[in-house]
Amino acid sequence: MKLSEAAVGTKVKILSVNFPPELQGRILGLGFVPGAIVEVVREAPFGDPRVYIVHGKMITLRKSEADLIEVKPLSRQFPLSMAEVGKRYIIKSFLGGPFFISRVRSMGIDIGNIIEVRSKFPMTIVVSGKIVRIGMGMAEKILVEEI
Amino acid sequence: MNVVALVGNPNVGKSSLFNAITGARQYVANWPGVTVSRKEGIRRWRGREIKFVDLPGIYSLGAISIDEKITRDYLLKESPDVVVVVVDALNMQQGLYLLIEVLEMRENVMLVVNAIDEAKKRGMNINKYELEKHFGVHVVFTSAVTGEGIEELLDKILHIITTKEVHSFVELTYQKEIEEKVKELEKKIENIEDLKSYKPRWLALKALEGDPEVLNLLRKFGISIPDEESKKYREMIAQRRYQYIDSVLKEAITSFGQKLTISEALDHVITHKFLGIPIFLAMMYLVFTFTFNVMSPLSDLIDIGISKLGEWLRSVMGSGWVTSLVVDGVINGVGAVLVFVPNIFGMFLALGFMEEVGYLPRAAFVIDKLMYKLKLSGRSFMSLILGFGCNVPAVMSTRGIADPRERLITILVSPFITCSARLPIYILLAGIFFKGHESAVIFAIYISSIILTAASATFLNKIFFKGQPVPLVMELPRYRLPSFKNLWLYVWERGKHFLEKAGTIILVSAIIIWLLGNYPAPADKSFAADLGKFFEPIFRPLGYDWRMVTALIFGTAAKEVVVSTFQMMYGDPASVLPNLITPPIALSFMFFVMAYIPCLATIAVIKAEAGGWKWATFSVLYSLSIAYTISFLISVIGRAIL
Amino acid sequence: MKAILVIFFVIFLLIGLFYIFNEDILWGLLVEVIALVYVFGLEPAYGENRWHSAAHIFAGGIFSILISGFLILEKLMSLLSEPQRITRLDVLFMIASLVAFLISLKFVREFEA
Repeated sequence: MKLSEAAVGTKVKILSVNFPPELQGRILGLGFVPGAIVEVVREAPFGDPRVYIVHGKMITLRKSEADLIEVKPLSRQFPLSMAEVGKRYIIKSFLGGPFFISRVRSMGIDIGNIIEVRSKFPMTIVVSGKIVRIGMGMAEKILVEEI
Repeated sequence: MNVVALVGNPNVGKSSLFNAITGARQYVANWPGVTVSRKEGIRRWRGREIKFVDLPGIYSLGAISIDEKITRDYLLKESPDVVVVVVDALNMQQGLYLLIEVLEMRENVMLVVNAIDEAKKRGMNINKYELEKHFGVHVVFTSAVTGEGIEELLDKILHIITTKEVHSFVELTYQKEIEEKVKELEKKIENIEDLKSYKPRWLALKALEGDPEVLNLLRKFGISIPDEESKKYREMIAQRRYQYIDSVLKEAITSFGQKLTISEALDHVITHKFLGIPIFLAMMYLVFTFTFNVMSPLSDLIDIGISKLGEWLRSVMGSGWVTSLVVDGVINGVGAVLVFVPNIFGMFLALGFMEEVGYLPRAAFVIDKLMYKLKLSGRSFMSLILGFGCNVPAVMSTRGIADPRERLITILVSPFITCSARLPIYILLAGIFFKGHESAVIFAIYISSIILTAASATFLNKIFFKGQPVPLVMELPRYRLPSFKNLWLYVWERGKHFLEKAGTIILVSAIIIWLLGNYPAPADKSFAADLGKFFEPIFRPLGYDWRMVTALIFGTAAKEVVVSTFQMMYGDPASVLPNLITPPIALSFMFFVMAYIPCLATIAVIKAEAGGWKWATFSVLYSLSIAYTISFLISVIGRAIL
Repeated sequence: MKAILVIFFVIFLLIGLFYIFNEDILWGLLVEVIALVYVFGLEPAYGENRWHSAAHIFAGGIFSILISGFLILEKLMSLLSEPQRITRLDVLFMIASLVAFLISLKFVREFEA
């Protein structure tokens, strides 16, 4: 996936870097090389740009720039928002504080549950026999692993 | 004299180190042909005078950006006695990458690990011997802040100068595929006479990395590398270098604490999704307040001082044209320059503080999405905001903008930001023609000023730079406590530049305006009034009378003068004007004042900062045409409606 | 820690409102920014709650002393030309900022090794 698609708070590994020639040297020199591990720290007030940590440095990139870096998730975990319709997943962890966690739990979704994705936009999943609809914002903060 | 070059990433404290070594014995020039500053300084050590050159901070030695080109050319073509690579103790990976590139180019290299005091505070233990062993260079730990290690550094430099010692770095062996290609290329290169001055291996590696300058050079001899191949090789080479660096660091660094830093904590708030913008606006307001509200009393004092001096001289010299020339012409002219000094120095102090502390990149980050549409950045936003107080410090503050295109656009659009000097005329005319609705009218003018600035930025960017956006790809360096020494040097260097470049122009133009306004006789009968009458026909379609035109002419010296000229020409504008012009014409005049040429001081700094009369002239013509067009439309539409 | 965040949020919210009602709108807004820094410290973040709140308390102290410092500086410099009065509200603001700053210093411990 593209670095711009990685969820805030996750770590990914760079597969390839494809910048125009005048920037390629600089971006590689900053440490964005294949094999490097990048952490997505935070996004700016309007959603763009975002702060990344690579090789111990904090670097900011716009979405248009992060689009040019191919990455893969470090763990096999990834946000539910990137799941595919028709597949089954197991809930691995939540990316939020206690309020968020209790809200998710009250919807019947907890760590260890096995879910199936019925549709996206809106995201509809089947968990413990019940059909639940969740917003994309919430889906971005639920990490799952494919079964 | 022996020469030492300092090379390193931006934000590693290289400049602080340079300051600590050379102190006040430094001067700034320009690299030939470009507007990047070249910093040189001299240090006497154990009886020798050593010249230090602070090369621009770069991340790698590709030959793309101006900074990289300058550093690279310097390392290739000049012969410094020692090349010192400076890295940040808390972030060595980055700097060591650059070290490897330099080691592949030159032989008299050494390494400085700076900010060692901060590393120690974090419980980091760096093994000097391991670094020296694996990179084959002398290593010195320094702290530009505490002064630690500087004497040792100077001793090591002297040692390398006298013994002409070279590094013993065993060149990296890259992946098999790369090494084979390198051998192939080296064979071809070694046979070419013209390339004898370069190291073949370096040329070969750079060619494989797709370096444009090297490829251009080699193409002449029939050697070329296709793009897709060089892309692959470049990645492989970078990977190998980082792999080596990581393995060395694993052995060289112990007990690295993984605690969350103050920088991360502060950034958590400063670049916060919702707090980022309010904090940005707050910081902007503080810079603005400091530059104007805090510094202006000093300007007022200078103003009073100048007047008192003038009065005293008048009492001593009596009346007569010599007195008038000296007092109203020269003294007031000098005063016109000096009165800016507190604001200019104050502005540089405030912005310099923001920069030293490390806030500016965060500001750029937070406002980026908005500024991207204008092809500008948060840094330009800060400069433009100052324009609401006065355009002169706004233009001067563009010095810190890294990208030359962005810098030029910001300089060219800043006159459209309506400064405080224009406010008196808005207040006067709004009070006469739009009673009860003054705030709405003036607010409309301010909003129009902002829209005009934004539109100009987009327009100028399109016609000059084909609307190319400036890339962000920016590092957020650690926050640090500002060093007062650095701050002082920063302010002094830029303030001095203002006095030298702009000061003379402002002084001369003040005298000329005074001459125009007082000869052969003051006000109505002066040359300026003649000019007003001469240009009146041009302004007739807008509905202005010659006295208003004269006011505009005087206004070129300083926009506040428009109001005093009105009072001089009309006696009591409130009663006279409504009989001469209608509200739409008054509104049109206000817009003209808002947009027409920058005042002379601003023109002077535009020339100083944009580099030449070409851009200053463009600014004048451009703003005049925009002002005329807008005011014309308002006058015509106003007349049609009413 | 939540208590500190709430208390300072309320203090600066009120001080800011007083400035606004006294027609000192711009400074009032600046003080409200400080209040915002504190109130957002209450928002739960990804996992690590403790240092998230500490970061807001730390930043809040720094901003409050910065802003109150500039206010005092402006008033002091005005003595050179057109003196502006230093009001009781200004003194209250300064004291609140000093306290906020001293407390933020205690929280520096959370971050360094």
